[in-house]
Amino acid sequence: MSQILRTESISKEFMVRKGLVTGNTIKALNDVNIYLEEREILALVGASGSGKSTLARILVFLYRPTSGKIFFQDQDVTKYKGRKLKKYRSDVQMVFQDPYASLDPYHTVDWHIRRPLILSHYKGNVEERIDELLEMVRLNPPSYYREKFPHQISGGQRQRVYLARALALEPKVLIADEPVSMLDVSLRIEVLDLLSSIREKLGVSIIYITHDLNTVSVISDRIYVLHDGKVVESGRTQDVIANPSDSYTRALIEAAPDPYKRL
Amino acid sequence: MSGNPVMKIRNLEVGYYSENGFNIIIHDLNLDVNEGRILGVAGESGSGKSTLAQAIYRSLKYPGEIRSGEIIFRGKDLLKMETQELRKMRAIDISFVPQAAMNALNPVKKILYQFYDVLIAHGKDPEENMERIRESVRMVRLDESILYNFPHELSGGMKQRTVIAMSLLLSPKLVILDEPTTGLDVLVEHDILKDIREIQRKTNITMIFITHDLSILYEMSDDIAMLYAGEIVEKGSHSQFLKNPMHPYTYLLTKSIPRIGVKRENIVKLKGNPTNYDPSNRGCQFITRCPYSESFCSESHPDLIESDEDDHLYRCMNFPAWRKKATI
Amino acid sequence: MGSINHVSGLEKIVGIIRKTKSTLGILFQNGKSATGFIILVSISIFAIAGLFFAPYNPDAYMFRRSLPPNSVNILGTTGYGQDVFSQLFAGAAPTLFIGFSVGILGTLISVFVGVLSGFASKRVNDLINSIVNIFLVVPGVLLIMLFGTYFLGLKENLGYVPTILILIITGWAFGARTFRSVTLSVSKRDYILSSVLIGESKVSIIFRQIIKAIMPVIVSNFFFTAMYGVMGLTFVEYLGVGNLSQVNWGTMLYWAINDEAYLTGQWWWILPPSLMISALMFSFILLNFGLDEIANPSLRIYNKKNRKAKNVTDTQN
Ligand SMILES: Nc1ncnc2c1ncn2[C@@H]1O[C@H](COP(=O)(O)OP(=O)(O)OP(=O)(O)O)[C@@H](O)[C@H]1O
Ligand SMILES: Nc1ncnc2c1ncn2[C@@H]1O[C@H](COP(=O)(O)OP(=O)(O)OP(=O)(O)O)[C@@H](O)[C@H]1O
Ligand code: SF4
Ligand SMILES: [Mg+2]
Ligand SMILES: [Mg+2]
Repeated sequence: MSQILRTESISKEFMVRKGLVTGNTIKALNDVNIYLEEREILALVGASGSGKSTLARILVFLYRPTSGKIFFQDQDVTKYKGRKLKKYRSDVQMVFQDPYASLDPYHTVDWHIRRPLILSHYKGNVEERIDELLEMVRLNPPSYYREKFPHQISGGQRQRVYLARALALEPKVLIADEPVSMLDVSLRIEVLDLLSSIREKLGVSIIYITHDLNTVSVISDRIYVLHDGKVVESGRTQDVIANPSDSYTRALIEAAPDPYKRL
Repeated sequence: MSGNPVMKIRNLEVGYYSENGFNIIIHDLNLDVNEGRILGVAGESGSGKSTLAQAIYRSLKYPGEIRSGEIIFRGKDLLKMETQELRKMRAIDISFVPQAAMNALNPVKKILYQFYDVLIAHGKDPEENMERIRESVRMVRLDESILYNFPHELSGGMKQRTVIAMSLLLSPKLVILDEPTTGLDVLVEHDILKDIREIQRKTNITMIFITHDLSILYEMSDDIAMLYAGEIVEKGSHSQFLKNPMHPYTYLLTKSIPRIGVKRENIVKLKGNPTNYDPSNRGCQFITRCPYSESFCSESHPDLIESDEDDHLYRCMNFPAWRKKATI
Repeated sequence: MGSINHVSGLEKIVGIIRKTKSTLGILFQNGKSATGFIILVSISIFAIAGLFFAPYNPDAYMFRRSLPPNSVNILGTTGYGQDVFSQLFAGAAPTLFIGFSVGILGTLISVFVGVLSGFASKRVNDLINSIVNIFLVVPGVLLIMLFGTYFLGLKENLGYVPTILILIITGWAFGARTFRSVTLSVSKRDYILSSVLIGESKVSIIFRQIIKAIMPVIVSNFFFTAMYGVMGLTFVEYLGVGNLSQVNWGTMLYWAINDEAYLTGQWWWILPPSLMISALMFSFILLNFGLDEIANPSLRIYNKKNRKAKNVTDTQN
């Protein structure tokens, strides 16, 4: 299998102003090397503040790395701007954590899916494509959902609308930043299932970001554990969970809530 | 194993006024809270967990209203109490940590003075009770120095520990915790939950622990009440729920938990969305989502009935037949 | 599904009418905004009628001075012998015109500058910010005097243009700062970032999303600025940089105060313009309450719930 996305020693520092003159730099990412294979679901795991979202945002160019390089399909894209960046962004899409914040409250479901189709100059019939996308994320019947505003549908449905919006651009990579952590248990598996079928049916590679090892074990093939901006452990999901070598990984596994365990 | 109830809720009906009249959110709810145990109350978002908690604490505000029922706490009906009496009872007998309470800390007041406020509200002298404050802070494993911080100088976990400490300040008999760790980091959450459990064991306080996260529910609770559409669909002990679920909802929800070592194919997908209590539905409220429903399920409303197990109640007309169709 | 493509012109018009109707409906569901709307409409009708039907020439000194209300002059006469009612009647339209012009133009400028700086590169942002700050720091009186004297020196009859310009110049900066900060906060929302990621242009994001999101602020800023326009009108006249021969509620008040009508007990001269201005202000404030809901779909449903619910309890008590 070939690597579709790869980082080379990515570091990211944030300047945090404390007083008027004194400043602090926070090293959110420190020399991070990861790769994503084609048709793979890769999990990025770590506690709060470990740098997961920062890495995701760097990969979609919402932040620029302080140093390091990003390769997409063996092209160095680190310095991409303008038209090239736009093309890259349509290949690498991101799904946000909070489905209550990632859809525009003033626009309908229809609008959210129509815009990327228009922007990418979709060749076929836009109306049919919107229906197709809604069906793909299992919002049936599409006509019912198209005219709904975000506040008229549930959290799980919103997250699926968002997935349809991202998929409208036919991306090759999907970066999902904690896509289910705000959802009810009964809705989580639904979205996870959908992610996995997106990989199967459309061949999209997925980076799944979370702090919840329970869901990681359920859908991902491979895993990176991030701690304080560094990758502390990586490997096949089953292996890492069965034999964690890092103490931090062990703590995460220990903390993963388990209904058959008593506190 | 049946405990001694500190609180008995009888025929409680709670709802909200809205454009089409009064929406019932909690319908005819009966529940015993056993002394010295953690009662976990679970249900999906919108099932009425917070509404129930606010009703018990009598802090429900308009447009919410308690329509009828009794909440007997140590022999007295909370719903008949006057404001004066209620105020005394709150925090001293019962305390409440509302959902997202840590964000409700006063941002411009040092933590210590916020503890003072709790004491003053109950006619206690803050200076004399300094030792109490320190003790409750130590109990949640915070450093005393946080008393001299502003809320924004603390992390989310520390703030959450602070509000828990405040709820323990006057050594209440019953503490209601509404989603006390939602939004916190896994590691922090795990630590706080462990500490809550430990405090409960040490002090033997009765707790009502509200959560939408079933894994956490099972980790924490001695007894469990499962809410669906404003009704209790099953009530029993932790092991009864895990070993012998009697309501399809409990069973399906438990099976829908993603867990280390479980294959995705084996995780149950519960179809449909949670609904509010629907008074026009004569049958079972769960029928729209229940894969085991029979024709009779739509004809009458199931009661909460006692099983042959001790203190194990369920609201399903098709038990035990549905279990034959389910693969446990 | 194709039908969605072919919405006929007629359907579109029907849709617009339906939308307007529902907008008005919401306006009337909220007691406050309904009251405000009715007051404003009444004043507007009064103003339009005043353009045509003033009983006397409002400017002519054709009566005895300082007459209390009587059968000929229903609101009495001014200290200079003009008919107060005719002045009030004919002066309504210019007053409203100034208020609305200042409200609309001032808000447009504030939105333009504010949104631009909220969405621009850091350098442009800093530049705009310092200009805005200059306008905020320099006292309004100074600006009014400065520009007022300049316009007076032009010796051309520009009608109300100078007054409106002065009021806009002194009134836009506050709104601009507000819009800058709300734009900054809205543009950090996930749904805006999402639009960046799918490749929307900045212009598209501003017009399709930001403007909608900040609509409640725009509406409230409009009323605020229009109020400033009406109040400022009096002030501009008072500072003597407006055109005092024009008839509007501002000049009416100016002359009444100038003639010390409040000391000599000529209440019929000072009270009518004061009350009308107050009523106008009041209607703006009331409308402001209700219009939030029209701009915000989710708020709308929530508030509707609340209001109806209140009625339920009212009937219960
Ligand atoms: N825009 C920013 N400015 C300053 N510091 C930032 C910024 N974004 C992130 N950080 C810091 O970088 C570190 C990593 O943050 P990041 O959001 O990537 O963590 P995370 O792993 O996604 O955590 P969470 O699980 O809470 O989402 C944190 O210490 C955070 O405070
Ligand atoms: N102030 C209110 N006015 C009207 N309806 C309300 C109000 N608060 C809650 N509700 C409704 O009552 C129902 C129950 O809400 P509640 O907050 O009790 O749910 P919950 O179980 O605590 O959910 P969550 O897990 O999301 O906290 C919901 O359908 C909600 O829409
Ligand atoms: S009564 Fe019928 S519909 Fe209701 S839970 Fe039992 S089997 Fe399902
Ligand atoms: Mg994050
Ligand atoms: Mg709640």
